[in-house]
Amino acid sequence: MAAHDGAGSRHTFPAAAGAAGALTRRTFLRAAGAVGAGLAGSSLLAACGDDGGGSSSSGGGGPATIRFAFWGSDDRVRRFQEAVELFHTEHKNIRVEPEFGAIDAIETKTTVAMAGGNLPDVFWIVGPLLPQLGRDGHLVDLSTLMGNGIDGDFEESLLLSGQVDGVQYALPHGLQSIGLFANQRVLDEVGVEVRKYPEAYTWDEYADICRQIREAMGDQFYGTDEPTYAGAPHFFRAWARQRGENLYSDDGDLGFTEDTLRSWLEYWQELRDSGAAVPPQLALEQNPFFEGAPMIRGLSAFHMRNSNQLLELQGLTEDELTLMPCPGNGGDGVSAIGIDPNILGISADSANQEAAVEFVNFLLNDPKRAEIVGTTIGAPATQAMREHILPTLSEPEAEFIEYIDFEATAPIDPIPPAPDTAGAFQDGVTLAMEELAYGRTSIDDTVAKVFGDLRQTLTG
Amino acid sequence: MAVVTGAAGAAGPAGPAARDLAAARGRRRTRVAYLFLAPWILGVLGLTLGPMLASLYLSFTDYRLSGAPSWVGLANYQRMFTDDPRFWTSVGVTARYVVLSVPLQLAFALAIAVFLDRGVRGLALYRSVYYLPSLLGSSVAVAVLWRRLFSSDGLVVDLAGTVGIQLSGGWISDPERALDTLLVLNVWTFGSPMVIFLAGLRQIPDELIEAAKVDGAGAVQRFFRVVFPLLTPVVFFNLILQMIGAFQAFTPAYIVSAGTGGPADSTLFYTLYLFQSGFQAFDMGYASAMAWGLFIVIGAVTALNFAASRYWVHYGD
Repeated sequence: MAAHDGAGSRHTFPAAAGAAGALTRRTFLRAAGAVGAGLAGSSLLAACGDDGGGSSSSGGGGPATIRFAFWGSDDRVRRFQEAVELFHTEHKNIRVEPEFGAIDAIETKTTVAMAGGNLPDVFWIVGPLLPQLGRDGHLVDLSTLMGNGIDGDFEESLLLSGQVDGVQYALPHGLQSIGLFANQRVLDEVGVEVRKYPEAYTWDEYADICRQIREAMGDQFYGTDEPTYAGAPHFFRAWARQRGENLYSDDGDLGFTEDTLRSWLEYWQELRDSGAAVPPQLALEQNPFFEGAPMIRGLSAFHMRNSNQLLELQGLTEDELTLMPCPGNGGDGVSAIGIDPNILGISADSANQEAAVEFVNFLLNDPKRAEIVGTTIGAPATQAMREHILPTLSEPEAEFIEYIDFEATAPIDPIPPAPDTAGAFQDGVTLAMEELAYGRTSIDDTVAKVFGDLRQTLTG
Repeated sequence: MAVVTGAAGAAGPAGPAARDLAAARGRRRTRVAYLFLAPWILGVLGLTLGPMLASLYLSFTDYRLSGAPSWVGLANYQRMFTDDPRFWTSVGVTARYVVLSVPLQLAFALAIAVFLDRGVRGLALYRSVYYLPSLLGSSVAVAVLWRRLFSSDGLVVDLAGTVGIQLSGGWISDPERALDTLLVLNVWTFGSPMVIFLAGLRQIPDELIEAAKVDGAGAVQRFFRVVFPLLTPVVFFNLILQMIGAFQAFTPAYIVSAGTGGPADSTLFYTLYLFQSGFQAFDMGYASAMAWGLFIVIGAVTALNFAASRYWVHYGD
């Protein structure tokens, strides 16, 4: 107490309290304002984009400038910048300005740009936004341009992914699907046989194998991770399609029955209970993909995720990885296969549509571009491009290309398009499955929830 | 005073002119004052009040960012209260966080402040070191670090293991404990209330404490009977600030749960759900309604605190 500087007197307290009062009111106004501002700010953002009604000028004589937006990791950005350089050397009269970011950020940006009429000339489309982009007239109808500016021979089943109400608003430019990754070393140790297209494990076989691995490898090791709460809905879609159902119906409702969902939840419940699947508490300790995937962390033999990730996953581990079909999708089940291409489109507001079309054609059909980009966005969408790059690829990439080539040419049943509300619906399903995995709710309640509240989210 | 009356007297003959001059000077001063205030006023109107009013309007609309807002009356508020279980989850999480983390943090800050007030050597250093987490606490780096600390192969589990305590790890991914790790994180950022407590402690006159000592009061009695009552205005000030801060907690939960509020919605803070509604589901009308809900609750709780302060805050005089 001796350290008091002597100026202290009780008289200062009311003053301090007064200051406290003022500060408090101000802080809380400001704070609440900040919350409000954050929200209203978005409308400002939207308004900012109103000036140009879209693209940069076509500038008399000067090169036409087009904006190109995409998402992805550093490696992908580097590859696309290289591709754009290549395009510039071949097209002196066009300048491409790349814009990129994480997929969430691009989704937000696209939505805001949609409101502001400021969409990039050429852009990758986040799947759930496609219906609205198409119906609200933000995209160029590409069907008249195909074979007339945009070349390439696309499989009919792949073209569906870019259609809204039968109009071709977007085109596939990178193919990916679901797959089953496995650590080859563990499979060899336990003596599990690999099965590739045209064959695949059945779901029962897969469950047996996972239990077998658990028994052979001990307490701290599991067979597989779960696609349920990890937000990989296409595995359930495969489960439904193998039963002649689908994720969504043609009229935008649920495409599966209660029994199908229940059997799926029971399947995973059983794997969790028997220790064949990684418990959620361990799996969700990190984001359960790429470096956080249980298989990469040395916790499981299998990883259920998107097939185009093989190259990247292989770079994260010393063990050899292999890619197998989703259980049930081989043999008689190949018609249940689903491919989910990355798609791109051209803004209807673009002031330089001809340049945009040339660039899109380059992205889809230029062999050198295909070599530069490789499989980072999935496999090239046409068989011609796939065959062209195959000899230039590393072993994991080639394995993936062969995998997707089988799927792209398989006689697969059409997949009804996801309704606009699919994103919110899927988020809800993922959350419900997470609650179930943690044992905070029952299978019955989960089914009731999906067919109650969440179905309402979907159908509006 | 003499000067003033003198001036008024001298103004006799040329009175009105001088008064005009004074008035003009006054107006000019006012104008200059407003000129200096202008940046702030523009900021308040353009960046705070304007957007707040806009969000008030939007809260009565269905606004999906694309397309124009359409008026829906009280539907957003109605949905909040009657038809959205996640809303109530977020209210529960936030309430628990406010009720637990604020007292814990203040008690901890006060304890450290009392300790430092005993005239420790190198006080300035300690003060800075303890203050540091306050600056870092809501940063992305610390939130990432926190995730690591409490993971199954993280430092907390390891350290507990070396002293013979077996902890199961993965607190961040355990719905029962994820929120606790964020409570600890908040308590750790005790620096700013601590500095304010320290300043408050230094204002307490030595003679009162000496007098209590002479009267035979022990250390504990001196603290609770003399020091704490004199410190209550500062406690109150800290309480208000930290409560408002806790209601608005966002960054740690956002980073630690990767924006999901998981596992299983156990860290779904109100602000996080608000953010999800606005910027992930693009339901701006609903998010605006939630923002106003928070605004009103924080206002009410603060007003309640002020009312209650009459009964426990002593201003001395």
